[in-house]
Amino acid sequence: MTNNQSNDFVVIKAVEDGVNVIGLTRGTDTRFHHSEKLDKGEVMICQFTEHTSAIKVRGEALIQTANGEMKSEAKK
Amino acid sequence: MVITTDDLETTCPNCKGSGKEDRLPCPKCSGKGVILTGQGNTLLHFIKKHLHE
Ligand SMILES: [Zn+2]
Repeated sequence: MTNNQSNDFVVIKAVEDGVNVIGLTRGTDTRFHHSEKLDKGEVMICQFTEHTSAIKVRGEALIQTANGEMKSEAKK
Repeated sequence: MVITTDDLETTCPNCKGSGKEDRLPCPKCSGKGVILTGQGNTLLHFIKKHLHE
């Protein structure tokens, strides 16, 4: 990404143990190239980069982006 | 410090760890069934680097 804007990041806070943050590759094939496990209370600040065009959150977490705040839910 | 398997890798949510999709290698994890974490990659690269010393 050439014009790296300062708001191109996402803040994720785990509400429960074992939240997974998964990065998807940029390009024609969208593979999972990186994962990260967050335990309750842990925070991750993720940036969209030349390698990562999408971020997937599994588990209950609070997510903040430039577009607002939302909550992901645990699978029932 | 204790490192668990969950700290090193995550089961692929697309193939649920089988590494396969419609009998072909899962396109999301390249057939591995897992996705490595930053810590997993750090450990893997460290061991690879020093294994044959
Ligand atoms: Zn897979």
